[in-house]
Amino acid sequence: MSLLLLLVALLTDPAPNRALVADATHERGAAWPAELNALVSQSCGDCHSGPNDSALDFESLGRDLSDREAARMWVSVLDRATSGEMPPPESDRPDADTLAAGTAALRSHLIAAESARRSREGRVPIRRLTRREYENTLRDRLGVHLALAGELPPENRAARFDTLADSQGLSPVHIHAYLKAADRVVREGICLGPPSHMLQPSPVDYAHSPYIAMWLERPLRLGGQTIKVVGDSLVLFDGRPYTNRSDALGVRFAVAGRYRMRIVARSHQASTPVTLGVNRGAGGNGGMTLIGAYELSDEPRTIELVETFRPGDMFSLAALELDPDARGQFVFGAGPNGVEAYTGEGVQVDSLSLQGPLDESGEATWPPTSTRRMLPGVDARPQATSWKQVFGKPKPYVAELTQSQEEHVRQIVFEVGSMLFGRPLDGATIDRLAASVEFPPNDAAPERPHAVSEQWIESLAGPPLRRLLCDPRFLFLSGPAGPLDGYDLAARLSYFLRGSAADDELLVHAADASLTDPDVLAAQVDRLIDDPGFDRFVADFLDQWLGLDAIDATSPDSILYPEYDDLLRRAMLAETRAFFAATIRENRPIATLVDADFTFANGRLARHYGLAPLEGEQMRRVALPDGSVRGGLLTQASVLKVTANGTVTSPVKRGNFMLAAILGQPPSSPPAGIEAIEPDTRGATTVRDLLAKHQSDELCASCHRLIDPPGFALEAFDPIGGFRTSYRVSAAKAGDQPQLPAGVAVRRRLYRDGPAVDATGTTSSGEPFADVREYKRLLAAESEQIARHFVGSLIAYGTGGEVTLTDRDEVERILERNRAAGYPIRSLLHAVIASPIFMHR
Amino acid sequence: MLSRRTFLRSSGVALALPLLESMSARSAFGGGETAAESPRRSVFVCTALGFLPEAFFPAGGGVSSEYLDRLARHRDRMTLFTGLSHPDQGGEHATVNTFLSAARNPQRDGFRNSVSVDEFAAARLGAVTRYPTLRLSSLGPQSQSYTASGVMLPAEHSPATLFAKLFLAGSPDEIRRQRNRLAEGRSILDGLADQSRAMRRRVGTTDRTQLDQFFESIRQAERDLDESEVWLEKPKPSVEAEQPADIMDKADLVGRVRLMAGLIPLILATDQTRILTLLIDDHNAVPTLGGVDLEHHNLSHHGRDPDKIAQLKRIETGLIDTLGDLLDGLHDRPEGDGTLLDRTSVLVGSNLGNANAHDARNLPIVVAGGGFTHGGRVDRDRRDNTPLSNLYVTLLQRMGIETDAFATSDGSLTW
Repeated sequence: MSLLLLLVALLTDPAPNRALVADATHERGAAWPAELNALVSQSCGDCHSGPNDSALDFESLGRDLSDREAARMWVSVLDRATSGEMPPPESDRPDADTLAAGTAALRSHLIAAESARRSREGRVPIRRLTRREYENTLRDRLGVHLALAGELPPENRAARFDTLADSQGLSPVHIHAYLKAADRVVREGICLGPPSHMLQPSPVDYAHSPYIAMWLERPLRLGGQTIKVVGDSLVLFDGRPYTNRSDALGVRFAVAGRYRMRIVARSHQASTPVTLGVNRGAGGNGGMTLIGAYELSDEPRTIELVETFRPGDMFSLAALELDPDARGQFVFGAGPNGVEAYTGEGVQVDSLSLQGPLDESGEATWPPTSTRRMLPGVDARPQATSWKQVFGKPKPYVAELTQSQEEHVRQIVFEVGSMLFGRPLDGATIDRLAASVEFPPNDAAPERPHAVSEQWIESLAGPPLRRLLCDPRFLFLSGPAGPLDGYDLAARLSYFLRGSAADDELLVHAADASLTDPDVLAAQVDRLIDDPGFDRFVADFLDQWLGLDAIDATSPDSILYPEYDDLLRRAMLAETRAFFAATIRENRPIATLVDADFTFANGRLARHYGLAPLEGEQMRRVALPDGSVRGGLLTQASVLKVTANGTVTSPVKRGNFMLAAILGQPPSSPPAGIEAIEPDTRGATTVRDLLAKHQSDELCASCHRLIDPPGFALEAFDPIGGFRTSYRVSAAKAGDQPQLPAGVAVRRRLYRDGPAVDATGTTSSGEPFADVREYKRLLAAESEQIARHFVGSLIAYGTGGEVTLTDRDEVERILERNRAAGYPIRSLLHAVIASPIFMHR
Repeated sequence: MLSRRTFLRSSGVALALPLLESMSARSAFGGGETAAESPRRSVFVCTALGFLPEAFFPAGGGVSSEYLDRLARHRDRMTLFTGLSHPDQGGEHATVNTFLSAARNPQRDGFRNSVSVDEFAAARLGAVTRYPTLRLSSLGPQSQSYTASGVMLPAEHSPATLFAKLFLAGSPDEIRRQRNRLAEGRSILDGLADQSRAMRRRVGTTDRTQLDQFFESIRQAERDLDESEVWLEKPKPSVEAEQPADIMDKADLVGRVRLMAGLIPLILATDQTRILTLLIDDHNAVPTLGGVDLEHHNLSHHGRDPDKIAQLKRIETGLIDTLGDLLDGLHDRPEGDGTLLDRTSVLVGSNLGNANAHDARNLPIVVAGGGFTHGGRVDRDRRDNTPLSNLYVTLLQRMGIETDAFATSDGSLTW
């Protein structure tokens, strides 16, 4: 309900002054303040008493502030009244004394109620691990590299952050999923048997593969003739994955883990650099993800990448960013002599080898890390010589028992449980879980190490391990109200900055409680920020704060925006992540987030942005020239893409994003019953024409004078973040079917330039701007509000609870201490973690 | 791959017998129905990217439009609705999540969904069938079904897996392993319940929503395992149809929808469930249809470009035709004095009224079958829409569920 609708209701419905009935039945605890009743009945009751057009009705609004919904509504009443937004200026304003007394009484009443609740229950309710935290924890602590997040129910997509306890849901579906995931973790994580054949680097023999030969023989119309073999090298002339997919070449990964891929490659028949893409496909569902892209010249380049692969995964190589031959033809136009006679650019792969699974130090190892971590105290060795060796098969590994079975199980339960729960497992739990296993009557340590099979050890360790994996102490972050103890603080800190359970170093500081010492804590925060694990915070926080996880939700029209592809998409995300990480690590002032003189780019992104040419695929810091429109999150292609509707941009969507995500001041929803605007890309009208009535209609203007200016400034960018001075409009006629092979440089323009872009505007406070650069400078001046919202977002994400009325003073103290330095970001992060809000449940 | 026609024909032949068997065997949890009256069912189909309004809705009065004419053979078995929508939806794609729940403001921060109409119905029908509901989707586990606490229930998206789950008997070894899994699952849950009780004491708060939900979820999961065990002992209906082969290519939107929807008559006729939902989601792909070279989602934002509108119509007529096939499949099966369709209400619609404008009002809605009076249209105010939940109330009542309200309803919809 917008302010103006309320106003309209007020003006058109001169209802008699309905005095509010003091409802004693709602009262609980401290007496309801009389000053507040005075204010409400004098200035609010006319519109908000009984059923009305707004969400607020004082007659039905509860006064039991332990009811969280009621408390939230009262906070909203306080905020509107304090800011002067309510009662509306056109109505009878309350006299200053009544207003001040009423709001002060409400404020102290609300804070008293919340403080009482907090001392009983803590600030945030218990929350469950998100599915990414679940997967990360099992990978980091147990070395299990399975894709477990996909096995758990999706998080509430409407929540601001998936860590917010109040937005998380829990259902029997979760319970069944936990049971199933636990089953998989034990079954696939404990892996002895025949070792991976990739313990030594094992080459993939493209040149002599019958599968490759098939594509060499097939004609173009059946999908062949896009690759060829030169000596022992494979040459690719296309980006499609099927011609060299690894599963068809017989590559199998023994266990989910990290594998090292070493590729030697170069360009082929190329006068300009070309790009080798590496795609990974997961488990046969057809989807492929670009996991690496490497620029090649005609010098052989050795590429090493370490990536997670799982049984059933495959990978394929792709030739990207190719130029056509002298006739302007790509390989599909090679002519009757096929690929052998083709002279255009290609990618030549001289060799490729795989090694793994790798352990923490990057050495190939067997049994895999997950097996060693899940069976502590149990050694593994190749089975003693048997007939199997005769046939040259690798000897399967077996487990060696050196203690009694019960002692083994107790050690496993203690060590695995302590890692998962992030604190030493108590004896009662060890007893209980040991009791779930049946041991033989005379269970004693064997005289010599006793070899048992994978199945045997699984039946011994499996039941207690599955119980640990379903234990609420692993699945939930909880604890009593009050200051966090060392272990709970370590967990909160680690899930915040690494998305995973505390590591050994944190647990050491938790054990002696030194983590609660401010200096030790600060040192640990610095360690975590500088650690590569911080990349997870960067990616996850950005995904949710700016909505970057929706980058694939829409795809731009390939005719209007033919330059958009996977390489560009990858570079866009990499830019924003590198930029955000740098602003934190370098402790830049908060205004850097919206207006910066540097960014990160690679060759592809530099071209997209029209920056000085860069070579290669690595992201690196780039100083922006004076007068560049780039710099800051808002003008990064990733943000501009997720704030567009696929093919068209909307100033409303981008303006809303700016207000909600950057300033933390989301506008109200539009009133019901207005017609939505229907975008038109035929070129006759621009979205600005369609929005013209926002200025003329008073009801619309009340919100759109805030929303539209940032949206107008950002109209200078198309849906994929390219700078534009005119709108692209479709030039294709009906029936025209352009064919653009994937990954091939675009030669044809299938759009024309339409109406000019108008990116000028006037901010709600009346300051005009001529373009996005001027707008960003105006925005940077609002650094206090940007910092306030950023601090609030860190608190919400990191603690699992939104900033409430009671927290606001602490937030202001954090801001105050950092004001002089321009709210440097790393300092803000430190201050949030050191605050009582973070240090208490 | 088995052709759809063969598949449907062969399954049709095998139906009469297993239906009777399953109906008499249904009483595991005391479904009190007599075999004389064949059960009432509901099917909810939603296409997430909408239908082009000018092609879906008749230009003037009447029931003839470009799309509806493709279903002309079922005209006297269906009714068109105009002027329906869920209140307070905003206009974003988040409305796909509330099509069956009618929860307000799905695009707001902190939004939490509410119970969807299929789950609402299943809770009231009780465990009368092996599956209280089945959720199908054309792509991935995304569904429109939500629990009362707002958790999405995953959908089945592989016709082959679904077929195996419903109709293929496991080997004795598989059944034994399954039974062991159930037994261990139950014992894990026992331990879990103890643990969460202990945790409640440690936490010592009154606000334990999450833990209480956890506890209740464990209890429900235990009941699920108990039911699974009971059903494990009962033979699955034997049908002569063969297991369909999945279509792996997600770009084959129409093929995948057709294959999945083709199972619905078989599932209902063998009384595996009485409530089905089917979500036709955004496949993020260029559909493999002649004359289409842009992504479906992209085309839905056609910006009034005539070429894009022509392409969009190709996709949407393909989808409309698969829904026609579904109605054929239900109508072709005799049941009692009538047909399976007579006992099955099929709602077809979308959460978007106009995808190009991202407008979630004036939704395209058709109801077929279910024994209603059909052949015409029911018009409500286009500017001041009637809650779609009113129609849901009518459909719930038709299933024999005694309710006069669902979500945002302010009555039922009669015609």
